[in-house]
Amino acid sequence: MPGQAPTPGPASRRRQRRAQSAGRAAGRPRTSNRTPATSRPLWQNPTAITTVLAVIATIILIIVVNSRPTTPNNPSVLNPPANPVADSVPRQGTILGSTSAPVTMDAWEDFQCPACEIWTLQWEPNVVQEFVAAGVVRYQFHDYAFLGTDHTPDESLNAAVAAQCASAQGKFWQYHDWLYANQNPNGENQGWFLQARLDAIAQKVGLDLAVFDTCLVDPARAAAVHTEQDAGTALGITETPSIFVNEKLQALTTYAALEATIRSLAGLPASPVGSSTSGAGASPGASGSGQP
Amino acid sequence: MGRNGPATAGFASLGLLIAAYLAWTRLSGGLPVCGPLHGCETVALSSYSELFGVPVAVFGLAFSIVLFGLSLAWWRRADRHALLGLYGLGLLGVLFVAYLTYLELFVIDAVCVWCAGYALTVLSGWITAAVTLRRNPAD
Repeated sequence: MPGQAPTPGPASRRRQRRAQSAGRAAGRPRTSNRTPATSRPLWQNPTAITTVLAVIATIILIIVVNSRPTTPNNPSVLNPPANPVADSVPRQGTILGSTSAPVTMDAWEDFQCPACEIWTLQWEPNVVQEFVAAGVVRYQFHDYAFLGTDHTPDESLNAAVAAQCASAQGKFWQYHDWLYANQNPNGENQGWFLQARLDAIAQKVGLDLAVFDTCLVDPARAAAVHTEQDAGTALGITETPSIFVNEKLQALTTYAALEATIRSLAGLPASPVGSSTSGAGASPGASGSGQP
Repeated sequence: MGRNGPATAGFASLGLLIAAYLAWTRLSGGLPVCGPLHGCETVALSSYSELFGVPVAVFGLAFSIVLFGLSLAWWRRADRHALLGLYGLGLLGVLFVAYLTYLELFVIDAVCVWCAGYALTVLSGWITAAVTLRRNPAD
């Protein structure tokens, strides 16, 4: 072979160099079989020093990483909903309650919107318990998924599509409750409503994951969410949550005021003072988080 | 050649490309594409994908850039300190990706092929540096 010419190649040069340096290399591992002329202590060998420093640095690094404060808002943790819609409440798709109920309520929401979370966790359970379960209100959820519009991926759209896919399996409200129980407390579009987490929620809710995953990427689902948002825009919606009672937009100042409105429309006597479940401290309307 | 410059620089640039891809997907709000092998999403969504608010992939990218620079310094200028740096930082990298792989296997319960690929480039680069260091003792 031409490479085997008698001229000194790299290998022989290497051998030369090795021979030259054998005397100085006592501390190197696996060179002890060569008798060094002068012995250098291990602690003066740069390779040994580097090795020890690297190991110490790694140990310190791992200790620091392990002891870092665990963030309470961890997307890999799923919290079960504290106040889910009771299974006994009749439902069909995104509609809760009797279709023959005298009062209709329409809630336009974005699963990423913090004010919608307040509405869903603090006001909606009261509405459901007091009016929907009693057959007084027919309550319908609508998608107004706009907070992720300028982002890729659009997590508001992702979450809306996921909830619609759960609806296709008859579990919209369970999925809806899980989404709001697991909203990112630090804001929108930070990777909380991506497929892995939506899948994890689907499993918690008991959906057929294969069907769900096929549905998630179905462009018709995204188109349907967009169509519904356009319908909301046509109604004059600019922020979420937008809550309509008998097609009239509500101000959402206090739960007592909303309760009184529903009672009067339903022909019910005004609520006795103090009987209203006034746990709704924060106002979902005041938060104004809906601005994109 | 005896310096193995192209090898260490090659492993560093391969790691750099992988880390750049992972950092890019992370910072653009997406998830790494794993193909038929799942697990990347789970790893990318885990709490271990960030350290002190900075994505781990960004640390990997910075680490690979440093390794690449050291590789060049050793390859083109035969700077032995650069080789020692490659060896020392490489060892740190190997030990740390071993720890991260342990987390994937036993804590996160998902393996990400991109992360495994990155770990392999770090390991290969370090072995090359160690062999080269043995063959190029101080003069």
